[in-house]
Amino acid sequence: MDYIKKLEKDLLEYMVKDKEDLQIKGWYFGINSSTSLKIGMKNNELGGPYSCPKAEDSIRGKIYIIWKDNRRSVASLESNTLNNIPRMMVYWRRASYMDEGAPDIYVDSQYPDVKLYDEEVHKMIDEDQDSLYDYLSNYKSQLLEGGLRNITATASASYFDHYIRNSQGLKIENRATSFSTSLYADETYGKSYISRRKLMKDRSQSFINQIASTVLSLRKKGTIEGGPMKILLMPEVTEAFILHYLLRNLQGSSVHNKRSAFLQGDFDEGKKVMAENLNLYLNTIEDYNQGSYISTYEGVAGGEIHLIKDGQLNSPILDLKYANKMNKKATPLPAGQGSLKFYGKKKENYQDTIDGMDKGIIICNLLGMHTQDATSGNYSLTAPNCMILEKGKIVGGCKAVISGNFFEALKDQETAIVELKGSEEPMLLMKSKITVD
Amino acid sequence: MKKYDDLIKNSLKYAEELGIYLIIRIQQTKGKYVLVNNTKTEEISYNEAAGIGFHAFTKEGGCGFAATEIHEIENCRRMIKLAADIAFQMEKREGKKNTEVYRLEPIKDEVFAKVKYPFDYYSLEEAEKKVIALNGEILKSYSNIAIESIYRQVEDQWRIARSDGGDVIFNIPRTVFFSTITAKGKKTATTRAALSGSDSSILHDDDKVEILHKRIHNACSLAIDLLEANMVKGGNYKIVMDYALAKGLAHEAFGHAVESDGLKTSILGNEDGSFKKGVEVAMPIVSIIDEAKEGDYAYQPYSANGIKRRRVEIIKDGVLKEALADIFSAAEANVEVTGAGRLESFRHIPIPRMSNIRIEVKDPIELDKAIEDVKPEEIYKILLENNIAKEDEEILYLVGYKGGQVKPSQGEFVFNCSGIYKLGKETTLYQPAIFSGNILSALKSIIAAIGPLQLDAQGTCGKFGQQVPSSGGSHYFVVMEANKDIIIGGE
Repeated sequence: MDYIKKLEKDLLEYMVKDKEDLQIKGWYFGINSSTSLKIGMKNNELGGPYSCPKAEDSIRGKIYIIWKDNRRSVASLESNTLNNIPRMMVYWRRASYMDEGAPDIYVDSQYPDVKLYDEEVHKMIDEDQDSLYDYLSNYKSQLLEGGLRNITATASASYFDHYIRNSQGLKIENRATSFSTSLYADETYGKSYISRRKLMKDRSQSFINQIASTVLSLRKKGTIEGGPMKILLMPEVTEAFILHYLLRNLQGSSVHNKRSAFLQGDFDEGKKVMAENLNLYLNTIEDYNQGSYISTYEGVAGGEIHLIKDGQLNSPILDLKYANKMNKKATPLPAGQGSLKFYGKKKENYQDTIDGMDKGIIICNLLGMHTQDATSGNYSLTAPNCMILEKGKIVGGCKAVISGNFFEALKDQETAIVELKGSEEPMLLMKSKITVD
Repeated sequence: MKKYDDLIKNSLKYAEELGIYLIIRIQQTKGKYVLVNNTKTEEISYNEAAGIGFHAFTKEGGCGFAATEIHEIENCRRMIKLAADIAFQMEKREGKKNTEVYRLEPIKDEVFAKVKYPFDYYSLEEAEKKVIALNGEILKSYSNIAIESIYRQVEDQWRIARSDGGDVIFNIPRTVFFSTITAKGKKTATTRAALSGSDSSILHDDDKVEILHKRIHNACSLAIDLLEANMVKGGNYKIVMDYALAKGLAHEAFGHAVESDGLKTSILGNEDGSFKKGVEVAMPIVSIIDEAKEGDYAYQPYSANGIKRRRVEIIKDGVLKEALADIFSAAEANVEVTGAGRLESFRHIPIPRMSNIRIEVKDPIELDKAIEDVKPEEIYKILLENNIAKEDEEILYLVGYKGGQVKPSQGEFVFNCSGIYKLGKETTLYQPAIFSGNILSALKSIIAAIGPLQLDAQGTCGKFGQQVPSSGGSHYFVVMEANKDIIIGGE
């Protein structure tokens, strides 16, 4: 790619020729060149001014420079950046800063072989756009036939050429694809899917069935008395809790700068933060997973690590800088959906779980997660669509406000991972305080 | 933006040859960013970006969109052709048609926001020094807190050119200083403080820095006090909220619910998608207004479709009056176009959005001091003196907006605060808890307001995956009666 060659050549020139203040001693950059097509349906109608098919090509990336005097610069790269490199070098130099503990340019000893490209997804953009439209027409026909009234959905396909280069000789080039789709019915409940590969027919069918059955269950309104009770979180709600309350507190920069619920010493001593059955695992090398990659832009190889193992803190998420500062090895970084796995060695079956619930609710979606204080663990959230469970049966839908402390819930021995057929992500059963109208 | 004259001329001519109506959206943006953690610089950056979005419409109303960063004419022609092909394909696939753009009147205009300090007046180095100094001064006053401070300065330049000859150029400068404070004891608590504007005066002018100081100190004290605070009992309460939370109430409860693209499913729309104009939704003392204000963080003089943005009285004297509408959905909603179309970047399609939204209450109680200096005890005293509360009443005072969310179709909205004070002879602090309300009844509970209007509650509003700057406010404090449809979610 000409862009990469030119950028590399320009940077090398600033390393070898006398550029006075602009002399650089190290650099890395990562580039994603992408082409994508996204289509949408709103209120049962394909396209329209807001949801019309969208085609885009772009170059986006990041550059990191170590200047001769050890100051550092970081900047975004896009298609036009190279139009005037001498001017941008001056701007980047002006935006340089001293960074205590900043890493040198890095190359890992080995890089994984991960499958990230699917030709069928690539074809959806250039040759086989019909298959992208088929998703939306299938959603609409099946759900309207099933008695649902309003369908809003999207489907998109992208392909990327990834490039990572650095002044230590690192050269990584790979092609990747991404397919995503979302489906939302009757403005009540929906799901989304994202992967390097397309959504296969059987998964697509279970996706549609799950949405249809949930929306229909929520239609009949019921009532429930407030108070403490067991709640079952849908997979996407479980994921939202994990990302908000655990991932944020596991970032190395937050831990080191005392902006996390966890301290550095908590990891050293393996502090217990969840029931021993529960684990949080980061995997960025699973084939075709959207969150997988070969290397971070810094040059750290993709890999696997337990962040929380058997309920105990194992490792924060560390880029090179915070790995240096905390005297630990850099870890893979979560990148997009699907790389974090929350699991239990012991899993409950969905049907057995609800059969055993005398009184409780299934939380289908939440309002306000982003407003919660992740460091305290406290939650106070509105669940506009819940399914009421009575003696193992779903008897209707309701709105509820749930509150409690998620860290305490994770430590509770009665908190359980529940497997839902057709979903790779688990549900979570926990106790909570419920307030109703 | 004048350098794009030839490209625009050539693109519009090509669109004519293809038989389509074209909206061209050119964006040039530059931004400065400083991030400091506990007095140490974590990151500084300067970035520039540019790109073009092409929104194509066939005569029958088929729509297509393509975006690129490359401005060369040949590449732009390729992307226009792509957008046109998609638009024609939509016709064939019987997609939703929209011919409203053909009714637009062409406007030519150039609007440049007035700022005290131009974008490059202060260097990044000076900004870094100021951020470190401010961060350090606050940090040394407390023993058990950590502070992350972010300074961000952006200047977007836009040119919107259309097939009908419409051609507007405008810029949107904005700045924000944002601090996140984490206090640690046996527990951990996090609070925030921010000051926003249109230029770097928020960092360099003494009067603004003083406000920033007070806000961060207040947020630090609150975070420390929260370490010992319990959760409030969940239920319905009489509520006093600060102006930033009142902005959240206006934004979540009404702003989103009257955006014309969503009226088909919004609780404030009829079944045919028209706007429920004339419905009484609030006390007669209450009005809600959305208005782009120069110097404000969310200022935007023209819509992303090249239409002048105007002041909108969403609620006037308690009655639903106007919707926030753009050209694409105003007719369906049976409302006037108000120029509400905004977008995150040239890569996105504009949708109706708010700018600066505020709640105004008639005859507010006067209060002649800065809001940062008003303590909860003083608010309680004002309530009693003005017979707005009785001594034995349970009253919660909510401080510090932390964001919200709405489901217009179900009429449900939420927003969260940074802390809750139970007012009374003794003031007790509780943990933040969600404010969960119903659109059709929430504003019927507003009974009074205290203080002048304060409209600088800064935020970022997300809708359909697009983030745009938002702001707004109200009087210093708004008072609401207990309402069965408003739940404070607690223990």
